[in-house]
Amino acid sequence: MRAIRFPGLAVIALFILNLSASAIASPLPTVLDEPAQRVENPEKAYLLGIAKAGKRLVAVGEAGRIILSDDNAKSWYQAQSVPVSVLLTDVAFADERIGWAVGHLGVVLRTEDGGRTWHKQLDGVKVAELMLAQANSMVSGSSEAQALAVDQAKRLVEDGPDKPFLALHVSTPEQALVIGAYGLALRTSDGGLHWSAATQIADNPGGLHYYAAAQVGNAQLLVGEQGMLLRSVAGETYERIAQPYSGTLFGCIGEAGGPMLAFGLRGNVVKSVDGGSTWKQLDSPLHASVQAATLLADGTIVLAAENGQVVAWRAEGGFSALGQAGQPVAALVQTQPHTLILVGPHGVESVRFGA
Amino acid sequence: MNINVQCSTTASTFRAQDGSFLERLLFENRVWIVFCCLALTAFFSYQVRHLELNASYKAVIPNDHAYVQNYLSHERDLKGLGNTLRIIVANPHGDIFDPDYLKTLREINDAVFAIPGVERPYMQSLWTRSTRWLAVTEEGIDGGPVMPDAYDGTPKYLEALRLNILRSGEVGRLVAADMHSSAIVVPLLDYDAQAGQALDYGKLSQQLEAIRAKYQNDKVSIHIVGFAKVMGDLIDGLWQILIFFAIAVAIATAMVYWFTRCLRSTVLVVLCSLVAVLWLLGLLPMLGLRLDPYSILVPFLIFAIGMSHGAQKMNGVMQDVGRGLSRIDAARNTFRRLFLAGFTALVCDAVGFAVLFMVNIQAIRELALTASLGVAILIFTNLILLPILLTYTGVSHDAARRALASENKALAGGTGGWNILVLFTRRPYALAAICTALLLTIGGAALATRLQVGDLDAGAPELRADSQYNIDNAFVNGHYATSSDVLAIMVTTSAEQCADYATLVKVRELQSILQRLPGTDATVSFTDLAKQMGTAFNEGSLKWAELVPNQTVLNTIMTQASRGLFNGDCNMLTLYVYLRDHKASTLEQTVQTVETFAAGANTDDVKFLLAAGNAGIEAATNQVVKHNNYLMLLGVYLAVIILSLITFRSWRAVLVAILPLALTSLLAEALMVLVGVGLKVATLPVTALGVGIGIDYALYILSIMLVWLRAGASLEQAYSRALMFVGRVVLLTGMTLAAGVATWMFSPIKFQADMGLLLAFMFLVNMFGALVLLPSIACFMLKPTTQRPVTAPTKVIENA
Repeated sequence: MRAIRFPGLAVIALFILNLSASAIASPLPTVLDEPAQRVENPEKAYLLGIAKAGKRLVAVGEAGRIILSDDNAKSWYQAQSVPVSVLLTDVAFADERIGWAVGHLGVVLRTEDGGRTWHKQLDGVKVAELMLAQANSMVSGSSEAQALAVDQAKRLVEDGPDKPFLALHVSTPEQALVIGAYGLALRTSDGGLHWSAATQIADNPGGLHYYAAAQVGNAQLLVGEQGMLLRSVAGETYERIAQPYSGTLFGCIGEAGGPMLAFGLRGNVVKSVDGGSTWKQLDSPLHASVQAATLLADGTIVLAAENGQVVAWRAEGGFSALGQAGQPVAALVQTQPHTLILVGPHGVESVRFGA
Repeated sequence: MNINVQCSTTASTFRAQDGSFLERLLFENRVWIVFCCLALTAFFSYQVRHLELNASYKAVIPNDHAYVQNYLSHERDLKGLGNTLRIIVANPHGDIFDPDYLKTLREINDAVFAIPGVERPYMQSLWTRSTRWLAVTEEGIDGGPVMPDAYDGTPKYLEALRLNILRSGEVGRLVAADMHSSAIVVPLLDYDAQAGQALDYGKLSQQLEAIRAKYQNDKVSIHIVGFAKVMGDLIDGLWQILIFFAIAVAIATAMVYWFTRCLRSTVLVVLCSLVAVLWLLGLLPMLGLRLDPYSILVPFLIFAIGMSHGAQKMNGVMQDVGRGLSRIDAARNTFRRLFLAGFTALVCDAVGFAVLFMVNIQAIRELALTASLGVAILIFTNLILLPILLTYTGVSHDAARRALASENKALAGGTGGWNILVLFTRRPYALAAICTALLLTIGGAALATRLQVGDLDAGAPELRADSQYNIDNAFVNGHYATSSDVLAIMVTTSAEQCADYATLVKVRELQSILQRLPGTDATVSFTDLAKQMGTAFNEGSLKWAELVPNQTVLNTIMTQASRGLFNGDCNMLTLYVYLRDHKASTLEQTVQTVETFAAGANTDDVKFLLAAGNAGIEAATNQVVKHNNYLMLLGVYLAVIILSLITFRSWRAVLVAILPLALTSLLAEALMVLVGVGLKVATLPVTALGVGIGIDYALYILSIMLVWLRAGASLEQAYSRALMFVGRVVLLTGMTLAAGVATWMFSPIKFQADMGLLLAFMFLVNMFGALVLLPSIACFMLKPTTQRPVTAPTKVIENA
């Protein structure tokens, strides 16, 4: 309205232009409604996540691409229907039928048929509305905390659906946790009918990105920017754990009762042998950022880096080289005793090791 | 065309005062004519020094086409397609981490840096400080020049260099994926401020070749690609054309000498034809024209046409001298008999060339203009100057006797080896010839339907597949990521809106559609940068490689972007499509896909416009060429039909003349399919040239035949008279023209070779058409018009 005070057509014209510009920006981005395209060679795509649904492999990536393989990655076919065409960042299954996938623009998808068809449970617009409604009806905590939550949720609504979910953790067909940019973390315990905030603002006051969630025994871990590592034991509230590396952590992994590793930028790896209470830096042979990890059947931890390096880590013996991928590795799984299937910017790749 | 058969032919009956006004004007002022021509020749020789040889990209662009209009109106903003050379320096026996290799690379880098016209601040190689590496660290983004500052050739620094290269993201662009070669990227300035003039491609190419010669050895190989090098090689090729010109002159001279057996007159004919070429070359700079790779072929054509008309004059003069006329009277008599015939034939040629003017492609128009000028000059040099010069030199008397003897033999009814041709006036032979022609028509038509538009080979289509340039180009395509066939789509937006999220989503959608086409290698636009920067801004996390619907983020990315992806005013984005090849079908599928998409996606503010880049321009050219091919054929045939109707005043005669030509046109297209030449700027004019010249033969032969038929002679008699009078010269003409243009086949420039092959083929087939098919069709179409006794035309024979 300030503009009105200045006479002159130009200013008014500018004002009108500004209005129309913001009016153009507000409609829902088309990628939230556009089903993923069907293409030839669907496995040649920018892929970020891969998971097992029973014996089936399901990988997700660019433009709503979800591909399935029933023959250990020999051949791939596309999911019948994916309602969005955003970049999907992660996928996980509770069993051979039920699974979730998350992606950019706050997208959460669910499948109940082993990945053949997907439906949208959340997108950035719904997430913002949900957060605002929850903040408004917040009963616990101080009024100060509520004001802060409402304020934050309102900003979320104003920003529009620009925030991605970057990872998820699925524990049962009903229970899932989706996490992402700017401290966004939601959980459901009824298969996605209802979602609620999984963390408190106090856990992550800076709104840092969460890059991964992992369940090791009864401890749930969240890692992210600036060395952030949160732990919740047996469903209690999250507590921040100190660890020696102050750069971004891209993931963490471990076996119940065994040692845990968290890893991140420039090949940094930290280790905990006490269920995540204390951590110490490992001397890592990796030269580039590590964004992918998996557990082998024998409990060996495999880490894969941006330069394609794939290494194994065992509690006894430490690191050993396992193989070399032809691309940065975004995610990987073991299919057969000596085969890893990994995905990255150039699609699916298999790496054989040992034997 | 009226062939004047009413002239006296013996010394006793020739009367100089019977000549037309023109004849008297010319022959009574011979000294002045010769003097004028000498003066003109001197003048034009002086003018030739202004003649320029150049090759221009814009000359072969169809300026009317919407794509080209779009390109030209945004040319200023399309710097990403700029005039850039890539010099690849390879180490054939090792990798680039070799101190000797790096030393040579540095020397080449410095040598290239010194070449005028290089936009030095933007030059890139391993040795330029602007080539940097980046790495994401805890503190943010770290970086430095790829070549370590303290590099001294020791293994320690070679290892550092290797790491920096891997971190720089230049693998595939500045360094080959196999690490056996690296590139020097050399942006060029179209205007050289140092010299104060436009970039001289010829000189640039010479300087590059000097560098190649100096540094290339068994340890280092050098490959140079880029538009400027193609232009340079074309200009080099133009100079080689001079050798072919000399060969063409030698062949034509030999042929005319074989025909006349008279050294004096042979030299005269060659001289007059060369004078015509000289005048033409002198005239061009005065008209602001220059020779380019297309029009440089015109002097050949003019020379060859001049030779054939000159030979005809010579033939006439010889027969007359043999009959006892003085050399002056013989020349005048020949002028009377053949000036009009030659004039009409040349007009026919000129019309054939003029039809080319329909095509709005500068190179073709200049070719048409140059050729029409040349033909006009021939009227002076070969129809006027030549007979006048003959009055001074005379002809060899042995040759004249021989000419008369062969004419007498013809008068006696024995046509020797020509008997075989005369057979085609008889029904069985005629039928056989026509059936063969029909079979050829069917076969030709079947092949011609497979005629492709555009260039069919990989690499620079202007040059041969095995040229140094195309070998270099194949090397670069094999070792580096970007292909050389680029189609750029201009996406215009309202001011400052080039990074608008909704627009970028549309651009990305088009990219994904294009990427699904089999002909697409890769696509690049600002959306790709936005994805990369999304990752870079988030500490290298692969999960951020998405267009985020946050305008502030997108605007920030924009400030980080290099120019080329959008323009300075931020109202245009450029989407680059790298194609697998530049076959017409690939181009057409791509532009069709884009047009379909644009039809649905264009709004008042955002428009997807085709097309820039070499592939975009070629797509436009292909459409124009395809469209004009049939229009032009229609134009040429219409012109030829009208001209022959005026000449013959008989639709039957017109059919007899045109049908063999049509077969030739069809067979030429079939030949193009057989030898793998597409319909393109270079081959488009060939049909018009071929038809224009082909009609000459029919005009000469049919005119004489009709005179005899109207005098009551049988078809066989009429044809054998025509054969002896003009048929011999048609044979000579066909051979001379074909031999002249056939030398182009050895040109290093691919399209000149294609033109040479096609023209030579058309000239030869037209010749056979006129000598074999014409009498065969005439056998069914033409009959003696009067029933006078056969002996009656004896008087005409004497007078002919």
